[in-house]
Amino acid sequence: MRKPAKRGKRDAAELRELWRTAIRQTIMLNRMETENAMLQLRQNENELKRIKLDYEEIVPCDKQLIERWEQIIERNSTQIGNKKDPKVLGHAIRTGVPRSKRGDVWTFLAEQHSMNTAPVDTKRFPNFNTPYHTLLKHLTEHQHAIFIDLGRTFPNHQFYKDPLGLGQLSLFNLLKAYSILDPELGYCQGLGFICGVLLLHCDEANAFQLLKHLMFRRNMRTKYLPDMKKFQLQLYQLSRLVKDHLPDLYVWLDQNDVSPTLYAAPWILTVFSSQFPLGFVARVFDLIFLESSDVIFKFSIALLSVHKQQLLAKDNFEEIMDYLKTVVPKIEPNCMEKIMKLVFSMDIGKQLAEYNVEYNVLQEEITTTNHHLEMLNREKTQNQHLEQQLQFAQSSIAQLETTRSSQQSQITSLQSQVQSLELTIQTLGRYVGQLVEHNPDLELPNEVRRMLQQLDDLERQRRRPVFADRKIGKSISVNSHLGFPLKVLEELTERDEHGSPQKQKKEKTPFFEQLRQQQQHRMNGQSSNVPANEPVVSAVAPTPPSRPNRLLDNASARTVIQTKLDELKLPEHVDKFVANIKSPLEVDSGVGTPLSPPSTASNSSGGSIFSRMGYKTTPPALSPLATRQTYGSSAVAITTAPAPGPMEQVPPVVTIAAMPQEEEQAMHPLSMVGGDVNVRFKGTTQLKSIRPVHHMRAIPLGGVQHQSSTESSVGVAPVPVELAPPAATTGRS
Amino acid sequence: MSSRRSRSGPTLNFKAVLLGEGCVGKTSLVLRYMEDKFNPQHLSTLQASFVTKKVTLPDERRAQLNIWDTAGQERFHALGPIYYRGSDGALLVYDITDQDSFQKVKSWVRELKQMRGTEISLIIVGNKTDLEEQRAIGYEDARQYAQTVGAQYLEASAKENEGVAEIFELLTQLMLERLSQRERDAEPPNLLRLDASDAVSVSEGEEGNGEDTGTGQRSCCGI
Repeated sequence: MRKPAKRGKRDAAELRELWRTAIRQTIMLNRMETENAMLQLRQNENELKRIKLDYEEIVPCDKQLIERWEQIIERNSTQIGNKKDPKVLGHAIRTGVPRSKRGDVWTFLAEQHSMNTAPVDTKRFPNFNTPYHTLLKHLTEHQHAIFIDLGRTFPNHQFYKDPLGLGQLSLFNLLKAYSILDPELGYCQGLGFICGVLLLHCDEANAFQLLKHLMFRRNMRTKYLPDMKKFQLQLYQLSRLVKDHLPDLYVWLDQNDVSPTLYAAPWILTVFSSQFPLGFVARVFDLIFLESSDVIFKFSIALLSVHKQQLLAKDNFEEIMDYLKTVVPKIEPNCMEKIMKLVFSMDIGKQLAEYNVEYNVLQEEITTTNHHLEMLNREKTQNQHLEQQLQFAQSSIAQLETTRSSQQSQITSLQSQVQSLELTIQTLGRYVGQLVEHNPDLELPNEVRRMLQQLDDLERQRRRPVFADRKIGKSISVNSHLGFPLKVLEELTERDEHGSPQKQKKEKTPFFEQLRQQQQHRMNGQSSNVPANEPVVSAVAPTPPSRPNRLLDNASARTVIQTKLDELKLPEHVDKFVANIKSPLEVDSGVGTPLSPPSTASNSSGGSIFSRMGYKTTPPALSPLATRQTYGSSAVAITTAPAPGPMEQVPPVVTIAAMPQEEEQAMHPLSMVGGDVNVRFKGTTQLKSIRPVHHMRAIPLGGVQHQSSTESSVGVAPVPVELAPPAATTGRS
Repeated sequence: MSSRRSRSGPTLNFKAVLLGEGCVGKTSLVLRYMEDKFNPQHLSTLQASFVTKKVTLPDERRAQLNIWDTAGQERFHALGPIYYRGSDGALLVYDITDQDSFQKVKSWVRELKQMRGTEISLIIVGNKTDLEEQRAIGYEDARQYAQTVGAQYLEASAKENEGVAEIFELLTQLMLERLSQRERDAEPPNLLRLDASDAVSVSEGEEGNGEDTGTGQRSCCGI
């Protein structure tokens, strides 16, 4: 600036002039710079606006519309409170909104709408009227969440492309301010796209006002709330609307498992902006500002109906989803017109309200259903548990049943063993008796005598009228227990008499024959013993004591028998009998099934099987052999008896004894008892009838002691009348 | 015949879900696995997106992987556990440079254990190994944590395509193992019956075949 005119001195005037020039020029330069900056700014703004509005209007907007919109906005802004005719506005929106005017139009429409609606409750939202720049000074807890989404909101748009560029910063500011204003909502993914769209059409502060308007006055905030209930409701509403408007497509999508949840979330949460071109999104926004956020449903339905045929042509989930994600968002101009036409002709307000109620009812039902389901599941598990228990119980029952049946068969075999043994005893007894008869000097050992005595007892038992009324059928009575062995014995004697094939048949037959002959003789009134065919019999005949008790009393006879037995080598057999007889009894009493009681026969009224076995000493008067003889051949007793008294006593006994015999023939003891067991078992599968062993013991004990020795009763005693569990029996044995 | 049957048998269906904090790379992992692409500028996932991939198992069986890519933001999980409900496997993804995202994995583990017990196969995935220099969670720490909760641990970089396929292969393998384990568990009560019926049907079939060759056309049922 300085002029190095001359090297010489300059005067003051010259210097002053120079300074003036310099100052003037500096001022000029500053002005130019400011102006330049202004120009630059304006240029930037335009550039920014150009960048921001760099989206294609799908249906090009008529240039004349700019003026028209300017007129609408101008006229109304001068007359605030004057509501514009919605029909005019609707028509204007339908014709289109120029990009450059969109921000203004939205603001204008927002103002129009706000005139009719109540102001937002500032008590709930104390920051509602706080200026934007004041809000920005605060910090938000959602900073991180907002921040990570910045780069993922319109990442391909020039304005938002640069990391932390102007666009992303504006977006961040807007979202941050809103999260402070509405802490209940804070930040929700999807909201960034709404802000992004708004920011493209106006500056930050204005965009913030529009955002507030959309969120509070257009009810868009509820779907972003943390519980997302409104969003779920909207998905349901959309699903129902599809069903109403496009039933065939609804069925098709449903068949392919494509629900609005899968494709409509971005439609609802970002107002199509995350997938669809901005030209389309902007038109949706136009309508949101004109009408309400329900237009999102209308656009969704319109989109689906436009693409209905293509969607119906896709026949699997993947293709349908792919089509919805890639093809549907590509809005062709003709497509756009169709959509707009559909949207303007649609009225869904009523349905939306209806489905809102419906959804809430369903939700309630679902919660109660869930409750019921929970209950059901609980019951199910309980059932399973019980079923398992039942199965277990059943298998154990089956096991018990097999055990029982095997034991039963064992019992049966033992029973038959006992029978044959008894038979043997009898035969031997008779044989011994015979021997004694033949050899009066025969001396019987004590054991043999006892045995004979018991046999005698038994005979007596059999004759007792008590057994005549045995109708044991279903219930096992004490009588039946007694009756059984006796009956067996009776049968055996019968068999013997008929000469049934037995092991000892050879020995017996002559004996019985002889007896029978004797009997006949005596019945005929012959007082003298007619010698039988066999020499032995004739030899014995004259001896007076044919009754065993008398024989036993006779010491000489005893010794004779002893010697005879020794000679005959019989003692071995006798020993065997004693041993054999013992064992089945023990087993029997141990098994404790209904079968066993009969074998133990612990009746008070008569001698038990034990009495037969020689385990006790019975009074001589009750000697079994005597009775047996009177029964088997009454004549024997009569003849042998020294006094006629017994003779008279016998006949009635015989007749009485005969009756039960007949009865018993009709009903086989084994079959009867077996049947009884089965019936009982089936009737009470629960094994209820199991009773403690000790309890049972008392009953037989008393009875047995009556006539039998305590020794025997101890051996017999614990025989349960009803089915006893194997465990109990084994424990006892 | 049996081999043909197993090949032509119904394809197995597995549902897998990706969970984890926002921006840890769930969508990128899926994108890399599905299309072998990486897009640094993809959109935030809203709610959830769903993709399927058919794979051939080592035993030549076919399986369809139904992969749910979920939104990272917490509130989308308030929609209900619809994504992990019924899923056979879960990838719990975190960003190895972000301590918070690892904490989020831990809370996911807790929730899944509570809701699904042992019914779900878990793989914890440390993503973004390309940012090794910014690593905030050590490999060993993460691996040990995974071990304590009965999960597998893998690291990957969707960007560099490192270890991505391995994740999905391991997950498929785990889900397959769990499936056969479930089948085995389901068997014992029916084992005897099944075996018996199998044996019967097999022998019948053989007899039937024998009869067929011998007498021409006679159905097995006739025997």
